[in-house]
Amino acid sequence: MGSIYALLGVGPTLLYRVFGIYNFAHGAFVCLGAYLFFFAFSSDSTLLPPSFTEACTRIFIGSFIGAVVLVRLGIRPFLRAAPLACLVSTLAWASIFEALIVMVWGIQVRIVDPSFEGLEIGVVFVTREQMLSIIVAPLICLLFGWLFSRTRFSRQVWSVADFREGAEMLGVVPERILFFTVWLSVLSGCIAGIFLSYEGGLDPTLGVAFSFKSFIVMVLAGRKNLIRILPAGFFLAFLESITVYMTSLSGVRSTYRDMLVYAFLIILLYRQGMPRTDRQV
Amino acid sequence: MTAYLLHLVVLWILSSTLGICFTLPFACMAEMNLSLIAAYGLGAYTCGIFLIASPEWWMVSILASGAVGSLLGLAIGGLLQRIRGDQFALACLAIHFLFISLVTSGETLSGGGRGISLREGVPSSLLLESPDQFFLYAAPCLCALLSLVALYFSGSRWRALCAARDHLHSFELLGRRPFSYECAAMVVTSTVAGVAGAFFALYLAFLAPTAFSLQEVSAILLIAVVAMKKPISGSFLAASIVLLLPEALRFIPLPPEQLGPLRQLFFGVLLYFFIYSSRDKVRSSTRVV
Repeated sequence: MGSIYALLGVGPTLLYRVFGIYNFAHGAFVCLGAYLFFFAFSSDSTLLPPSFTEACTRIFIGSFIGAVVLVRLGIRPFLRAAPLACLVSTLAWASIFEALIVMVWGIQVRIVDPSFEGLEIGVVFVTREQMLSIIVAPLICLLFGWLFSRTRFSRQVWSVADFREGAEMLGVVPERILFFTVWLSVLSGCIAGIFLSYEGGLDPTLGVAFSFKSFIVMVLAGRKNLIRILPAGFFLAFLESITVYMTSLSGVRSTYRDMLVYAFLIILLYRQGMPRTDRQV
Repeated sequence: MTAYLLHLVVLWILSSTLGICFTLPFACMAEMNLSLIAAYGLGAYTCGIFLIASPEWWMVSILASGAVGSLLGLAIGGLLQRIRGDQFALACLAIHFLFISLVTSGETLSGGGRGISLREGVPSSLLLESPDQFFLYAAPCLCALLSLVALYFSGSRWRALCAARDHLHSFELLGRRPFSYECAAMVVTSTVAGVAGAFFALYLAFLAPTAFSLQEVSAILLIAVVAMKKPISGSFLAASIVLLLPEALRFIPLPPEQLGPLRQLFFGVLLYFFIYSSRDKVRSSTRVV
């Protein structure tokens, strides 16, 4: 789960770094990615993995359309407005996307056909999908970290984010750069959704919960740091696991782990603080 | 049909109360207290649990709801000391989800996801299940509380909160502490939300976490966005829009499983439409352009 949480945190961190906004619609893209991957039109409650090429094509096209909608309608009209307006806009889009997912695929939770192939390490049995997420998700995080820190593209992104006029003078097209950033953010959410669906099935209402977890990872990693996301994701997963273990020992329901996660976010936000004179655009 | 209309009027009163409690601080402080529904829910659960334990203390249960709401308001006011704007809204939303997790997990007290029925432990004479009883007892009380809130957010206090929002430095140079004003505003509005929650519990006589979902937060947000310029009269008007427009969807011949998401879609589109059209009117206390 740590690697998946890290991947979840990539998208909101990118958007916060570039636009200075919290994207509440990220959770909806996580759900959208999972549903597009399995294309759950079948009435069966157990889903079989589709062909890889077909699923990837659907993810790319779906995330592209999602990014277009988010940029054109959700973010761009609000860039000159107060951050709260953009927050409300992304909340509205989260609600719209979630409602559309429920209308298209139905409200019922679907379970992905579990794989019984895997590796036994001591007393722990790791399935093929879990191994895949343990390896692939951190690799994608590192790829994003490299893309947004060591490449020409990263320099263009940060120049547009920090000094748009200057970037334009140097021949950078800000609209294109910003769109690609949003697309990559949406795409990372969609990929995280695929791994999550292998862990807990497909549930259209989990968008907001995942948005929150991605925000926790983001805040834990220092809000703007893509490199620190990986340890932050693992720390959150460790915190959740330790809570579940402790609650199971004391006979309390494991659902209390969500409470701890939310309380952790509040404490983190309070500790880091953001006084009103701090943000200057 | 009359009973249905009266039920809508009861919901309208409750929604307007919450709308005013949300919109007033939003209009003068530019801060979104997204945990107001949590204060409302906490008030409802406090009243319900208190009444089931000791039905004879009817009045005390309502006062306890207000007290719990004010405690939450105090905690939210405390957050304002360090975080602002979208960070504050995010922390408030986390408080809302904390509350939902709490009532969903706490099987013994709150009944978990199944909820609790007040009919099982509370005599029906103590509940306000019919709209007539609600209009007789709850509505005057809520009107009185709203008048007090309106009075609190008027005159010099309103100007002080607006000044703290727009000219913080000058405000502090004059020896005023913005935090005390803002914290008090959060406590007042959360207290009223808690009392409104108690009346909601007495009216419905059944409490479940779904009654305080994120959709309710969206509804209150919608009221606030519509009523930004005129917080009190605008909230009454916006509450009627929020209540009546989705009600119209009931008359569309659709299967019940499609009606819920359609309502949510409708709310989302309305919220987007209103925030898009009034995006330049949203004030900010954090961003200097």
